[in-house]
Amino acid sequence: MLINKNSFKIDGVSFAPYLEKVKFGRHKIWHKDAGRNNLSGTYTGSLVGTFPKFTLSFGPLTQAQLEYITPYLEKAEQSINYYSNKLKRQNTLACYSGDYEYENQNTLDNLDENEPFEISFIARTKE
Amino acid sequence: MKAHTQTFKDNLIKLGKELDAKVTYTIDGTETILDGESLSSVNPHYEGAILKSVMKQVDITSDVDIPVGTVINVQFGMKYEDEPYEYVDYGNYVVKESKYQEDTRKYYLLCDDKMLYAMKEYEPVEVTYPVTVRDYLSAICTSISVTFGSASDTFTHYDETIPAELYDNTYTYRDVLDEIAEVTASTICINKDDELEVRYINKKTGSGGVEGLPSDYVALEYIESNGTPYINTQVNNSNSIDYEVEFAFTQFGSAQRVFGSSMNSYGSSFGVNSSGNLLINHMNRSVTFSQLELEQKYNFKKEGQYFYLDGNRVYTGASGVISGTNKMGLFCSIKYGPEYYAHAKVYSVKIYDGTTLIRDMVPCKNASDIVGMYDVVNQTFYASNNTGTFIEGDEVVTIDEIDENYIKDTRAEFGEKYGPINSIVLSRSAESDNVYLRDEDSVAENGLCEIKIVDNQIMNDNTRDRFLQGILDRLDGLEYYTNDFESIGITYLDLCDYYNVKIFDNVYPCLMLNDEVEIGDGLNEIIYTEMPSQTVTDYTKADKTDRRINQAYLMVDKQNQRIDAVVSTQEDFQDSLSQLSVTVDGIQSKVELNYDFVRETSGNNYISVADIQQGGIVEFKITGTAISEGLLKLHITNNDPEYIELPISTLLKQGDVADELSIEAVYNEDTKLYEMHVFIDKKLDYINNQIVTRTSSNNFLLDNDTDILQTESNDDLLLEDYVEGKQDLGIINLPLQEGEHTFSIDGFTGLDYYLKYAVLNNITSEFALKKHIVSEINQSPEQIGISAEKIKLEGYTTINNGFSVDLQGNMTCNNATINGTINSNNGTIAGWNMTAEGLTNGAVKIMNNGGTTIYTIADIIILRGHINGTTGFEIPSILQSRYDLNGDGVLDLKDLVLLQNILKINIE
Repeated sequence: MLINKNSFKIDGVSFAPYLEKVKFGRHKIWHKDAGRNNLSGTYTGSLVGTFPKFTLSFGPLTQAQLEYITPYLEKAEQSINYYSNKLKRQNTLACYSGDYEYENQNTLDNLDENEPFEISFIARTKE
Repeated sequence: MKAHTQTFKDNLIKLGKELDAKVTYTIDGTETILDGESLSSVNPHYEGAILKSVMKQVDITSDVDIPVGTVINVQFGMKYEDEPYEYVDYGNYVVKESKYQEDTRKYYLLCDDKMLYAMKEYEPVEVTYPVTVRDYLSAICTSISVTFGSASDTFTHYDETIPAELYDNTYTYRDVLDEIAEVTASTICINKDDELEVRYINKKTGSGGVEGLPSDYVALEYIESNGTPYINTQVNNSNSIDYEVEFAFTQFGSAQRVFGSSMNSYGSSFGVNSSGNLLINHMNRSVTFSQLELEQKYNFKKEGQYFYLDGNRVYTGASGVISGTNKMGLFCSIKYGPEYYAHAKVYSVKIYDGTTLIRDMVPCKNASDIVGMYDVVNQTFYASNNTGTFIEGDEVVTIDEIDENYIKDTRAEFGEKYGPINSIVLSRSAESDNVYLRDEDSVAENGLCEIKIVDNQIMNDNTRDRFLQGILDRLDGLEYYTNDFESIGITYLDLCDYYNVKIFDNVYPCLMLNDEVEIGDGLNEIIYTEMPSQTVTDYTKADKTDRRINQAYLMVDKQNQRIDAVVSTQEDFQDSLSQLSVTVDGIQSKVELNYDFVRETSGNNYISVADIQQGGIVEFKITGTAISEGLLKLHITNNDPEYIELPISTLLKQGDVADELSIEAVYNEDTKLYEMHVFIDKKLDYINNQIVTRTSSNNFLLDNDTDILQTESNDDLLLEDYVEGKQDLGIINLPLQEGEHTFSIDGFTGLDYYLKYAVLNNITSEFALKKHIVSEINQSPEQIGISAEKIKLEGYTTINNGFSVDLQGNMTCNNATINGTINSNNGTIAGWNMTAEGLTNGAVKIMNNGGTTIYTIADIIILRGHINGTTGFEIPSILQSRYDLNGDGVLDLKDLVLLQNILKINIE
């Protein structure tokens, strides 16, 4: 969760000024052995782990703001520093990110802004 | 069974368990640990069997390459929720091969355990033969640079000896280990500590199923003290302390306490008095009850003031305050120190403080084999606080059980039951020469299930049946179900573990022999045990032992490249042996017969034989107290002579009797005959080393018949001796015809007769005690030698194309040099015709009656002398015709001329 404006950083840069909200997901990834595949029909399986997923919602950004954050979003891997409810402290995880799309309804300049957009960062390792 | 906790086993079936694997290795002193971050998959697997050596392997897919030859340790880890990972140790492996896979950009590592080192050509090990199996195995371990983990174990046949080197470089060390596994009725493998282990079927979990007992501890039925070791439970006695103890006494005779403290009014303990009566000591009062039974297991419980034996209240103690710091002892009571040591067994101890269980002590031995009690409440091991060690009871055997929650629905096949094994067969010679041992009760009850061990070099001699009992003892009764199932991952079962699979109401005993674990994207384990190859021996042609006599076997000695086939029989008086030996140098065959013609017989008053050889006496004894002095005549019926006088003994005086008369046959090398030596034994009386003859109760006559000794009390002077009384009476002529005879000495009854003699036989007509007949054929690349008393060749026979004998016995050869006799009455020789009467050549004859038509110069001289009248004798009329060559009836010059013309000599 966001506990202050600096509690969410990407590669050491606070993204709070650009964000409208952050959705913290905790995704359980299962091995292939999971399922009702034993003789008693009990659902069993091995848990690969719980992997945090951060869905960032950016508000309308100006051209300068977008140009500033784009290099961080373009990288294959990002280092996300966030506050972990489980660990009860700031934690850093290496993440990969998904696609993102932004939409312009007007010509973008420093006065006009694009439409809000989202991007997800998924932890490479277990928390 | 790999060390693990019950929690580990429980977590295996929990949803959401998390997996890990660790590969640890050291290169140049630097330890590296690869974990789940670097490892894509770790797949340990092996294919095993009983009576074999087994190599375990692991296949690893890794981001990191590990050099070939590196020794790695592999562990599988699992945790549930926030617990730490618990790892089971899969042991060490050697990286055998590393392949880089371009598609996945990972390394695929193939690793074997150190059994790999045995996969090389065998070289004779450095030991001094004979060597025990255990020492030999130790030497093999040295040769392949593996630590021998069973070096102190008394495994089956560990002390049997191997007489000589049995293997060569056609074997690998692994082959030899396979054969030793058969000898030891085991499975030979590398354990987790990298040691070569002689492993047997493991039917117990390490903890015996006791919850809380560490898996490397072994639960015991009980521990026993012989009166010295005891345990201080470190529990202070007080009013709130209650306890429950299961125990049995092993010896009475002194006051003993099983448990408690004994500080006067602060004490509370129980045991027995010197008579074995139950004794309760509580609040400074001792109360005795009925006598306990030795070796009887009892349950004793204290609850407050109340005391129970086997659930029955036996005593209500006084109320009062127990205080102080005195501890409670086990196998004793503790006052200032331990006292009243017990000779007893303890099966369990539970101590409560109020309602709180503060000690739950179970008999066990720890990982160092120290026997004691383990408190599962405080996870503390209590060994003896005194000198001496506890005697361990039987290990608690509980078979691990896997239920349907562990078995996947993709593959769960449990086939037919194998066993129970109840027969061991040792086989050789293309499985034609078998010895066996069976548990006949089991065979009758369950049918036959045999294990056949074929051509084992160590168990290949003619006393190999000595191995049968040990092997059967190990395997008798073993049974398990064949199986092939896929599990969610059990992982802690190890090679040779015996376990049960329970699928709802069906329970299948199984034996862990083949395993494939897949640790990667999830956990999966395939376990299977196939039906061993079944053999059925024809027991009518097998034997329970290798016969020491009457043998028939074919023995293959691979070390010396030799095959021996032997058939032999041994009867009372005849041994027969046929033997064929095949080596790379040749073939030898031998057939021999040994006859023993010596027989024995005995009788009283007389002795009769029906079939003695001529002169066939070997030993003849006549024993009795009635042989007196004077002339003795040996009467031999049906013999010539019928009576033979025996020499007179000077030992026998008037009225004396001999103790034994013997006629012993001594073979004379010069005459080639047995001489009959006559001996007589007589107990002689001695006084002061002088031979004497008692003449009256106190009078003795010296040997010289002159002096008389008189004693008042002679008993202490009188000595008797046999040896000095034996006298050689010399040689007698004892002609004996073959056939039936009766021997006796006329006039004497009650004598015992013994005769050793040579029996008549149809083997030889000559006098013989033994006869050895042997024929041999020795074949080498250069020649064949035939040796026999008789050699029989039937059929048209040729030698080198120049010598032949046809079916009628007609011999043809190119030349002959004959040094001996030629007998013939037909044919020709040197142009002469041979007849029964002599040799003829036309008119010329040499007749075997002395007549001849051959003339010599002497005939010319005789005829001329006759004509000239100078011979001085008349030619006998019988010879007239010899010289009347012209047949005119007159011997004259015409005949002389004709004779000179015959001889081509003209003597003027």
